[in-house]
Amino acid sequence: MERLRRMFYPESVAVVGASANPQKWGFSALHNLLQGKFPGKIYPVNLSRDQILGVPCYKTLGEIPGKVDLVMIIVPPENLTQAIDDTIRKRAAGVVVLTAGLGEVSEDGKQKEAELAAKLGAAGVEGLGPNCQGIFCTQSRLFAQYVFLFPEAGKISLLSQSGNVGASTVGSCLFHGVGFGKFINYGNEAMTPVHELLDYLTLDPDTSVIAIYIEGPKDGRAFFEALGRATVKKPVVILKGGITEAGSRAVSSHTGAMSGRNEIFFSACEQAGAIVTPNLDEFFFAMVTFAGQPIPKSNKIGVVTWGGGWGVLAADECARCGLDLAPLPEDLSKSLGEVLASRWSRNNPVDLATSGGNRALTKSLELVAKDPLYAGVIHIGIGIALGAKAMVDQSFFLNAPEQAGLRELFIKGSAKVDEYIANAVIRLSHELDKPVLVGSDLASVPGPDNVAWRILKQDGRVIYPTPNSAARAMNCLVKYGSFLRRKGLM
Amino acid sequence: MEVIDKAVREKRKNLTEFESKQLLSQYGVPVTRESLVKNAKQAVAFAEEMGYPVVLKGSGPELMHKTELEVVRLNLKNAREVRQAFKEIKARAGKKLKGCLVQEMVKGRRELVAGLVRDPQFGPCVMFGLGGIYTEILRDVCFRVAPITEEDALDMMNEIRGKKILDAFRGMPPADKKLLAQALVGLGKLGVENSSVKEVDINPLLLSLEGKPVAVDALVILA
Repeated sequence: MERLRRMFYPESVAVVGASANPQKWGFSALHNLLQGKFPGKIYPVNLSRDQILGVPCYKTLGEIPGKVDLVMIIVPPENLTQAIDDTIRKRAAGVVVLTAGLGEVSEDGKQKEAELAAKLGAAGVEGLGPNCQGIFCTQSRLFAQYVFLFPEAGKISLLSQSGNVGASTVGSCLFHGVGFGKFINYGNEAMTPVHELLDYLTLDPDTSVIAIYIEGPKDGRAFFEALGRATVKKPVVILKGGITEAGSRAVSSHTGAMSGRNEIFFSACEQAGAIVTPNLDEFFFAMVTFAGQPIPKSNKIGVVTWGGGWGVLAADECARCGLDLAPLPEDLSKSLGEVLASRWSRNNPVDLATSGGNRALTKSLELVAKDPLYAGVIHIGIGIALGAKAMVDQSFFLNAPEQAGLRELFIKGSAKVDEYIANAVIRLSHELDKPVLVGSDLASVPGPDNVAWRILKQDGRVIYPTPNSAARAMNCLVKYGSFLRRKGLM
Repeated sequence: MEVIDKAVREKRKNLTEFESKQLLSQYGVPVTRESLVKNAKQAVAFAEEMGYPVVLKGSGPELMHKTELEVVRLNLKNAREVRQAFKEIKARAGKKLKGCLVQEMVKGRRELVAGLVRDPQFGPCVMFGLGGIYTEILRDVCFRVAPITEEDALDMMNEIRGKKILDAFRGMPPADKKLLAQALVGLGKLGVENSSVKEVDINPLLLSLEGKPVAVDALVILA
């Protein structure tokens, strides 16, 4: 574990196969270390260059005067053995092998991977890859990677067998303004196995949510046991690739993993308390939900919606997931009746039937959230500012010069409503220690005019694009809560 | 386990039904009352002792697919029927017949399946679901990595789509979930403790008229 820690919080990084050609991975690797403002020492290793991007080069790893904690290798497969031998001699803590063309293409490649892994294992050096895009750690400003992604520091760490699935997940976090912790792309898993990386993240104080994209573990039993150690400390969200026969064939040429019997894989993950998600969308929403919301204490959920159909869809999805839309207690129903227009639903979902301004909208949310019956709330209908803007932009009437005052009133007034609700969501969620999830098609897309998003992201929250996605994210929280209660941890 | 060691010594790929049930019973799986007999006289004697109706099944290491080989006779109500059945089975099985299994005839309409598989990635895993012909048609089964707890076993009963089969239904009592859980936990233990067992298939695991699970047929495959 100490070696892995040194790998993610290194004092020095060497790039073997650093290149001055911007079209090569050996260039990107060095470039991104600089771009990410890595505070430690950076040593490019290149036979013919004196410097690249202003950083002095060394002809070999051995020539580097000081110690090297982390080595990145981007050399052709035939030069890999030499690079690994040099890494071992340099007593590095770990090595990230970006080189591709080994176990994922041939049996010979598999053999070679195994030989290199044995060498590293005997020398006590951690190894990621081959066939990966690298790693990053926002807390140490280490961006030892090919991809061009530099998120702010956050609580989510991702273990990904695939580089691009990992990159698109990190990319989604960047897009929504959610921070990220560590990204570990382990490719062919020839060296340090995924269960040891998982154990490291379990113990890592900078990680509070673990996400895993996996095509097939090398050692399922060890993975299962590591999952069990992780889930009692922090939530683990899993996306599995290669669950159909066509997908499995793609896996074997992608990372060379055995994708195995999926029903057993899924059962094992859930048995160990992990949350299994079916696709990239839900994978992303599950991890950010865990990072931004408290865990609910039961499966009783209240839904508050500005419009009826959204509430119906949310109710359907909640029921499908096994969430309990418990009926409104009598006193709550009475209090709601006092703030809402008479056409409201008198039921859970609480359908406001588009009634009310600030007071009705925030008060109804507050009343439901504060009722001890409900362990969490889904609110649908934020993002009024964007709706108002669309209306104002298109309306022939409102665009007339003499309507400037009314235009202003619409835009400013609706922005105020979003601001009220967004702040109420944050305040109530913290005050009551309950998850409050907000769904809205309009407001789910970040942008400068998106008032609700701007406020909520400050608190690490996202806006879910559909009532269904909000309900499913809530279900992930509820499932984990029930696991913790079963273990006597909540 | 003695029955396993013996079969391994004899280089066999599986245990007979009788041996399989002996093993399962040691791990807390309820099995049919039965006895292995050499001739019709012994068969009648055991049937009389146990009470009618009984089931007669041809037994021998080469008689794996008994139904297909037509060496099973159900619902035999008296000594005459037992003797007749013994004669028929002997005629069908020929030299492969090493004896006959005389078994209590368990009445019940709800067929479940339980078993153990050794997954190449996760090792021994307990399986549970709908049994009989529905195992293949509906594939309504679920898995847990062994060893499992009683709570895991109850979870499994809740996980299958056809979980209502375990409730009180059309005059049938609810399944004895405690006994069922004990059987599933036992299967997991069996898998963890016996690395030479590759697979266990209990199909059907019948729910009796009282709702108690009974392994009516069972096969242990060796690694």
